[in-house]
Amino acid sequence: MSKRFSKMGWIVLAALLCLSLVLMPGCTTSPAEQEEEEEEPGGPAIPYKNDGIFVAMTIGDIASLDPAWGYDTASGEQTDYIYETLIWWDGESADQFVNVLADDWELLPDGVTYRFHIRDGVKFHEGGDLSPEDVEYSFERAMIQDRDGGPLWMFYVPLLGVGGYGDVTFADIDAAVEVDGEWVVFTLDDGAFAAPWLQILCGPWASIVDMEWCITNEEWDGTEGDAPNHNNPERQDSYLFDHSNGTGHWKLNLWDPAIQIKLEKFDGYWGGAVPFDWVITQIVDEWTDRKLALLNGDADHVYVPRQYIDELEGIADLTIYKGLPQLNLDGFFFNQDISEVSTYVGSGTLDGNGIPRDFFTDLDVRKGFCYAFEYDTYLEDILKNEGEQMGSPIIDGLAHYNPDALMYEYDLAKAEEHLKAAWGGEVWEKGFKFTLVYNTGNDARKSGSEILANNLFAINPKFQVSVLATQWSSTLAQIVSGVYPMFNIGWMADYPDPDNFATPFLHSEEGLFAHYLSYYNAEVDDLIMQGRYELDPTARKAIYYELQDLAYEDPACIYLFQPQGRRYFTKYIKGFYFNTMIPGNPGPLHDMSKSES
Amino acid sequence: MELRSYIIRRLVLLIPVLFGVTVFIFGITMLFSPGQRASLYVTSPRQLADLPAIIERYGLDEPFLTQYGTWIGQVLSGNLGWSNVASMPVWDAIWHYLPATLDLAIFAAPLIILTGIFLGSTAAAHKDRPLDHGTRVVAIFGWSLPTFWLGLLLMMVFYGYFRGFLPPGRLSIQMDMVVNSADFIRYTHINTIDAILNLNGPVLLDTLRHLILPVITLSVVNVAFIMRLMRSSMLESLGKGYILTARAKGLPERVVVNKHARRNALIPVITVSGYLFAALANGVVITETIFNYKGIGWWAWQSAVRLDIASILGFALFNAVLFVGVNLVVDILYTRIDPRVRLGEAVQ
Repeated sequence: MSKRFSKMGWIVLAALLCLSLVLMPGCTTSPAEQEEEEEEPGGPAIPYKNDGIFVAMTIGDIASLDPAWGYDTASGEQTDYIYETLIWWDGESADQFVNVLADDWELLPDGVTYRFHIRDGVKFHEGGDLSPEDVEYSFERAMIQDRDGGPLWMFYVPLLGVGGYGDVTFADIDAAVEVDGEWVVFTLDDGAFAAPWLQILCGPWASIVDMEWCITNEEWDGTEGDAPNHNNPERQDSYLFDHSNGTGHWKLNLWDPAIQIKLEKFDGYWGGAVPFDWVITQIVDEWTDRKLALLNGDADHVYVPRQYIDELEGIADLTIYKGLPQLNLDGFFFNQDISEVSTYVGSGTLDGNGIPRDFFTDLDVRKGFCYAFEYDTYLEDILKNEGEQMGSPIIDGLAHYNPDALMYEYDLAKAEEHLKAAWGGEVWEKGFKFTLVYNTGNDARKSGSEILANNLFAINPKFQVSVLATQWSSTLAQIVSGVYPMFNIGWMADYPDPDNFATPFLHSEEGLFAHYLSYYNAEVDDLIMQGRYELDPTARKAIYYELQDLAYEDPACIYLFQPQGRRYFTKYIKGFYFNTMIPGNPGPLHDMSKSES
Repeated sequence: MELRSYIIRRLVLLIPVLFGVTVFIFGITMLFSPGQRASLYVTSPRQLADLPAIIERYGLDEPFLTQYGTWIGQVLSGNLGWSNVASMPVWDAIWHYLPATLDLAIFAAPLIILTGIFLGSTAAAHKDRPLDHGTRVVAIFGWSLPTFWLGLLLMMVFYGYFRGFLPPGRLSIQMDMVVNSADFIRYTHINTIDAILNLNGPVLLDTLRHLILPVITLSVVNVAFIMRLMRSSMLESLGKGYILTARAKGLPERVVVNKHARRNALIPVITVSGYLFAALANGVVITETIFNYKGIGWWAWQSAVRLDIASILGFALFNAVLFVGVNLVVDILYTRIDPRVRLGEAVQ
């Protein structure tokens, strides 16, 4: 054995041992911890980087850049930067608007005809001029596309009173949006849609595209004959899937799927100065990466899951906006007609080892469950006191929300009372067993499900609810197939109208949740339809107040909380404001700025 | 057997391998209900009502043979399908994500293999002495570290404490601008190679800066495997008669170990190293996720989670080709290292 060899080996060994000591937890205080101990209040200073560039780090890629196709928050966020609509939300308001591509508009006395005067001198990114014909084409192209599960029902219902493309002729679509000189005219199917229509026009689906550019690139050519070729396409079959040409502040530079989207300033923007030369949205799955990037100044804004908000408290160089009301609501939904093939109901009978398919048709079961949930604990521990309990789907921020509406509270005695009465006392005597489902990765839903299961067990050890996480891909399919007896899911606003919440939760035929849960209450159905078409605000308020009472009396689910959100920016970002109808991160960039001062 | 005919024979054998792999994976995915597979196209509760239409549109309730036949027909016409996860065709997705993984593998695999060979040889040469024990303890310690823990720890120290010194991702914002500009030619999309070919020092340095932590993480965790194999193989070699003969001839110990023992001990290590490279090249999910180094492993993982069947099958095909290819290279390498080995024959 040579001495040289041996010496080298020892050197390597020593080096590796040093490395292992550095890496070994608990052997020594890590540098980061030392800094934490020595740090003065205010946290580490965040350096100013990337002048003129706004860097956001979030999770989840966009589905498509085609404004008519996207229906997810991430896609809408990017298309809002690239495209523009006729009108837009006025600051924080959800019912006041500012003119964008329309410089004037009016609702005619007939209550169903909207006229929008199209702004002159607006350029598209590729150099085309905006015209009223572009506006007409944009709406008609979107309605013709009308892909499965897309957002275009929001055009069809108010304009034509039908659900989609299959229910109309081309002539109907053509007549719904017309050009009249410099004006574009929309004729609504019913005056009841007059107010929601303005809100719908602010959504990304109402973005205006360049007709000539679209036709040049083999999009719909504007004729009846070509319309079927462009209905319900695969998302990649639309040229606008990964190409864009809007009038917005920024134009597309690069979409590197699942990695980043880079937008660059549009020098020809009609509205004056554009605040950032570049807007870069990076998709970063790992929370630690996002957090450290924010603290190092490599990101100006990051998405912060609620469970990590404590890690960013007390850092002076961060600007944190708290208590931002979200227009969404979670609930534990009761399935009143569980599928025969369900494997989540144990024995399938009320023998202590399962539940029957119609278990939740018994009102006392549902009320007992509602009383068994610890709302305050959920609010404090899971939502960190950033939410508001709701007693019905008409949530705070929607018109005709009743702040004094009845809602359930945590009361085990009342829960016991109802569960003793349920199914003629059989439930209490024999007990039950079933599986409660939530989607994997949603920690709030996991904790909420466990709270409910534990409380039911505490009431009666024969009440056994097992909690199961399933992949989101499975969750939705299983809801449709009706195999879940109970599940935790949520709903987010398309536009801020009570009908947009009442219908999915409670309408037995049109409601997505209600339909698949076999929830049926004739009085509720009737009130929803009355509320949708009622024009008199006072009468409408009375209808929705009554609906909120009925939602309490005959619960379709355990209504949980309307959460409040947060936004995190470095101190160099100024001008953020929150509009509940712009739920994406980081919000209205065109009104924001970045500077070192 | 001639090298060329051996390679052709192996490539022909690839066909039944690919067929078997696709039938197996397609069969597994068919265990999910049509509704579950249709959920890939559904992102929101708003689309619940459209599930039946989606099932019909994509023929998800057709019999297995029909669906498989449709897919294989597409593949034979050069279409691997559409990757919903990657928002691009599957074929493009493979080439989109592979360069990042190769960037990692090109640096990590040699480091792991050479360090493992060196440590294994050293440990064997100092059998049962402190150096042997110490080397093994350290290597096993590295092997025992959870990848996610080590990765996060390194990042917190070198990106957190040292304020951005070794960041995650593939490039900084500024260098990403350079790479995506018209002046920078993307020959391979492997940043290190492209930077060299473009003679762009700043991009090369920035790429290396981003590579250090994931490469260290992979190396620390994997080096023990090679090291232990090399050690046991070396010990076996050192006990052979020809080593005794070499020592009896008075050869220096360095020559005995390096020339006579180590070379013969390398054969099993080469086999494993080939698979190690293939494993690295088909993605290292945790490392890629933690360091935001989105490569083919990240894509495969996302595809599996979201039941993106076209992507899963595409990845399986890629994987099969990769492993068969690596196997072929390893077999050819045997003949260069051990003259006793002949292609197409068992090792004597």
